[in-house]
Amino acid sequence: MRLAWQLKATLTAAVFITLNLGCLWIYHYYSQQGHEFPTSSILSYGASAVHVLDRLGLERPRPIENRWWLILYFGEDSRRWAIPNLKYAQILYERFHTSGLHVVGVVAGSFPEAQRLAELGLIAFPLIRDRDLAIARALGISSGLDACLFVDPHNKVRFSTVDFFDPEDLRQLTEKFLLGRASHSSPAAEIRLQEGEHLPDIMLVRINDWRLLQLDEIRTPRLFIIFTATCPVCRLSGYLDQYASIERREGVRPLVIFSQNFSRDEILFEAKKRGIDTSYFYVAAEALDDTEDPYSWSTSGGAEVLVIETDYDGTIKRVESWEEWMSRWEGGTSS
Amino acid sequence: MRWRTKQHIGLMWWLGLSLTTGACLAVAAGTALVQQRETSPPMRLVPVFQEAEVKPVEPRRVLQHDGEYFILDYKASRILVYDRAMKFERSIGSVGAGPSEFFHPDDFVIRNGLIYVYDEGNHRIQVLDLGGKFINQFRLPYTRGLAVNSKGEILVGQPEEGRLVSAYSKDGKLLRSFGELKSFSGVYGEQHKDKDTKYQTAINRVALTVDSQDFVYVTFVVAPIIQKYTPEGELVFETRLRGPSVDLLTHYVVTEAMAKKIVVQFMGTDMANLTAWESSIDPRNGNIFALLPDNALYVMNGEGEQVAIFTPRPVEKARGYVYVRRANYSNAMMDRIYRGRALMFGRITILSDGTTFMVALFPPYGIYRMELPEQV
Repeated sequence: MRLAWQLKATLTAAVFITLNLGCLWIYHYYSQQGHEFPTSSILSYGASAVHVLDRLGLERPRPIENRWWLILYFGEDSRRWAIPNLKYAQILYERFHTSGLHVVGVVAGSFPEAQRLAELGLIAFPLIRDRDLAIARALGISSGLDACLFVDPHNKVRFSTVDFFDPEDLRQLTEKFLLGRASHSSPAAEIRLQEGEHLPDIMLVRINDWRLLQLDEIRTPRLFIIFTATCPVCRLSGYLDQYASIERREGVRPLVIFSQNFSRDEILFEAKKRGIDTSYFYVAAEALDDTEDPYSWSTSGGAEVLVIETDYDGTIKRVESWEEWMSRWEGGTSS
Repeated sequence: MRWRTKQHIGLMWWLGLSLTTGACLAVAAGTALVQQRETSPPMRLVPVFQEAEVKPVEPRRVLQHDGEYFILDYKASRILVYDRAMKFERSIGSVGAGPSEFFHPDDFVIRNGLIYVYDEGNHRIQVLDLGGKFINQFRLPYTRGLAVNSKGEILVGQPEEGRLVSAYSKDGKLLRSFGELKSFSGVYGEQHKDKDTKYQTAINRVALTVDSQDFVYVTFVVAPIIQKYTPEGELVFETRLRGPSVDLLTHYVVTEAMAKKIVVQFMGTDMANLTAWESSIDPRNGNIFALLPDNALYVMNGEGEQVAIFTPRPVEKARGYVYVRRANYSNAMMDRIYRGRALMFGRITILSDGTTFMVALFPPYGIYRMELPEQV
């Protein structure tokens, strides 16, 4: 028994030292823009990655040639954006992994919240702990700061910043490097969907069982709540708190659609915490619009959450923002 | 007993008199303050670029060159170009760290057919032609304040380097520096001596602008002070902003209790209070417009004498939502009241024909044309 324990401890220590030394070596030589980045050393960390298509039961893509690395470093003094960035990196990872995106997170010192994300399975990419700040030193990151690196398929660092960055920056950079163009929301635009139009028939993933289906297949409810956000990890908790308050009222059973900018696992996790029934929760499996803002039927500044009433055939009877709908609801005039 | 009753009556009289006097004084002071604000002319704000096909996500500044409007879009890391009718024409740059790419570009200037961008996230100044072609760049740590004179010299505020204003060539060579650094106690009084070290950088954070003759205007961001320098860097005058708005803002600056509630933060310093955002010069008459963080507009003539103060009012309700924030230091509270729909301006640009644009730096972002009841 004692021998087994000693063996386990030695093995763990060996793995930890190897990982740290490996990272140290990689970062030391390849953290500057334009320098080559190795393919072999860091690939081994990708072994624990869970492929979203596997979970959907879809065909696995061919071996990835167009491989990009997104490396996120979170220092000890900048915890405010670490969790939103890690959660959003997971969303990007799910969306772009088939296109070649690999993500590695590195956290300095002790960071239980980040560790918990990994333990709960809310992030599927590798998370490395920079226990003695050796990686930070090798990267040249000043004490406590965050860093973000993009490494291209030719192993060149194409972008690096030791500064403030948020999920929206990560999205733009990922789209720029993997799709060739970053999309932008139109903050002052009007709601695009109009009364009398047909609700677009998009593909959805049911949150509870990962079942894929078309929106047209679901015609029972006539009330839809569409949650979109340019920073979904910043907004999700607030959205669900508000949703929980209306769920408790009788007679309201809307179909809830989150844009593909949200993480299915995180929605489940947060909804469970609030005791919300997720039977009617879906995540869009495709962009909700093909115009400049691909995530939203409305806009980031105008209305990130839309409430839509339709006929049984999907014809829109009413479109309004969440706030407008809530004020009607609280005033007792909502049907 | 009788004596006691008399004593009570006296005490009551004294209390009553004190309370009445106090109330009268408070009402008088309040009325004076309100009157001072009320008598200031209102400014009308008209939202612009609302109907354009492509709109900026988070605008930072509007400039005009040869009839075209250029808008720096901070969050989308690009410059949007519009024609005279404010119709979208083209986009310059994209997110990244390469040539003609930006990451959080904070400010820009167009001078002599070149675009100078302070590319904050990439810690550099980038020079492009009007078509967006990369010309040059040089590295620059965090700064605030960017201006370019007619010789193409790039002026930046650099208190971290121990210099108030530094002038660089286009290729990044330091040409000269000028201006004297201030101390917190020097501005706000000897009783604040203990803050001198802590706020050494913050108190010397400046915004910069130049006029058509290359005179340099230095607006201190956390001190109610504006300076004018000759093109060579000799001080012409230093003036102190005065008035209810300034009093209120400086009160926040020196009150530690309030400082803890501040949301906005500067990079590299924990001093976040502001007394002025920046200034802009009216090219027609040389008047100096200083934009204060409570949205008041402080106007001086070319000699630094106060001409007018325009106070903010909810004069324009675009889409039924837009309000103008007043002393907005309790950002969280204001957001609750206005549901995040109150404007907070931070940038002002006056074009050659006097058209003035103000940019809301916080949600809901937007660009507004300012219209005054009479020209100043």
